Amino acid sequence: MSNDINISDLDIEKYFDGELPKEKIAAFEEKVVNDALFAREVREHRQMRLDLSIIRERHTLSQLMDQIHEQEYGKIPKLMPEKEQGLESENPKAIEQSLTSQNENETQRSNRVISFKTFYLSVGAAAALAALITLGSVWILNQPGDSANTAASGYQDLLMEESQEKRADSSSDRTDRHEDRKVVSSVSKKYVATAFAIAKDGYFVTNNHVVEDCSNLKLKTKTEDGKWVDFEAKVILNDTLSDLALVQVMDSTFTELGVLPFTFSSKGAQMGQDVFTLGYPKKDVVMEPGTISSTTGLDGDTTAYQLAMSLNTGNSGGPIFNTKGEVVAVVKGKHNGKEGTGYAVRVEYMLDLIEEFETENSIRLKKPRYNQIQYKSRVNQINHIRQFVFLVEAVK
Amino acid sequence: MDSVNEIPDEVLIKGMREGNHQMIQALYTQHYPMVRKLVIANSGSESEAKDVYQETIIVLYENIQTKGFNLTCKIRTYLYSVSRNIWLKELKKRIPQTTDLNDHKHFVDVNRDFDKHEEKQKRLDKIQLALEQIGEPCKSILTYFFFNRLTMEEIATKMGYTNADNAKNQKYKCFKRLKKLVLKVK
Repeated sequence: MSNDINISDLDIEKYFDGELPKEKIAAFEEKVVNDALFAREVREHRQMRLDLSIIRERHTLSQLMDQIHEQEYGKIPKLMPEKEQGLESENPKAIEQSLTSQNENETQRSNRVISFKTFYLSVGAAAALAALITLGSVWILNQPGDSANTAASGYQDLLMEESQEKRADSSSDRTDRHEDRKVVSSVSKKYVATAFAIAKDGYFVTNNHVVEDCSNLKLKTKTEDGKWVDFEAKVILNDTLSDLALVQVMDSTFTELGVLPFTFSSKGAQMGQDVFTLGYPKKDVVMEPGTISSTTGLDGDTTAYQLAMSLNTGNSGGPIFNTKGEVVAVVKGKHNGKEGTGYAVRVEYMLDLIEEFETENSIRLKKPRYNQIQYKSRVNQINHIRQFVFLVEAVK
Repeated sequence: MDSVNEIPDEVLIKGMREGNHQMIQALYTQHYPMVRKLVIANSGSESEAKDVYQETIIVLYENIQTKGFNLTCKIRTYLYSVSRNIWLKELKKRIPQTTDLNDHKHFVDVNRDFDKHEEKQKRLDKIQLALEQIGEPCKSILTYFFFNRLTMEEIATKMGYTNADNAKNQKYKCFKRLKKLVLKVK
């Protein structure tokens, strides 16, 4: 087995797209032969790609058949209106969405119209959907929501701009929360947010939107005598999907932190759980208590939790702890215009990111193993945790 | 429908295999009245007849696309048998006492095809449910790629990524996530 080339499971999709570099193909195929588990992954992957194309073909065929049917036999009066409406409620996610703000519903509707016009025949797709649902199958092929619109409808990330100048594109023309930072601006801006240690030897987690495209990155902390010290750092892995980034301190003055007293939850959080976060909405660390109010984020986002928590700019990237002092999520944003509603990335995605980094680089980070604070009072917990929560300063 | 200008089975099958719309239309209209009669004679409605028939056509269509599929009976008999199976199962679900349909036509055993179809349906349902739950931006990226067949460049533009490579990387991660979710869906 040639072990010098590392094949990760992200390479499977690359392989099927024909995007895997030549030198990796041989190693990939060898791994399939030698690694039964990997071979199974690849088979399942292939099956899912096949299934996705079947879904697509069925959709097209159903539309064609509806067209034919209407042409030949006319429209069938709907005998089961309750099923028709049931289309939305067949899908648990849809119920949730219907309870969200009007803005979001409106965006959804307009997206659907645009997408159908652009991509599919004009025939009633809803009829096709209803048709298959009556036979006990789920046939939901909702059109994608545009991330740009989702952003406009109520999501705001929480990094704080230190510079006084307002960028021209910041308010009215704001179309996308990623996009708006990519707009070339000649003046560099300093943003402030939060990061926390996930290993004692200089590895931190924060939000990707905090550090994305930054030219300079510093982690700062206050020493016991109240002085600020800062460390140069760089992004070593990021994921725009979960909006998380792994940051490493690259500064000779940095000495290992003590053993982390907190751990990462393996179970995640449940609705109704009390939680708190530590972060830098001002130039000092601030504790903010709250509750997990939903196990999904904005628009049914399953990568996130919704929080009843008053969050502010600067809180981005802060750890969310449960009462045992385990990290259950990472703050990423809040609902724009709806005070007290925040969003945080589930801890699984942070663990995924760490794991990805570890496998890609064949190293193990010194993650905490034992929770030393689970039976302590919150005041005590915070005293132990606060030295591991840093301020991030990103220059973009 | 034993009209004289009925298109022969081989021609229809070839047309189906090629996805020829006219052939699909010919096949559709050639046999719909038969299935409609069956469903309506067995307490089904007009629109239920249509649903059953369309699912039947999907079974036939997908089988025809499979290599080595060999129709051992007439299309008419095959469609009738599959429709019969689908409707009988649906009726049993509604009225558990149902034992058989009230019909007199000849049908063949299509249980194997039907079971395969059901199994596939379960898989597809899971994927669609997972796609519903996956959240953004994955849902958009995967939909654009797999259903709308957009290029990665087009997807990058739509999603506001700086280049196609970014979009590709997102797609790899999204696919991985979809796979995980599919396993979790009950």
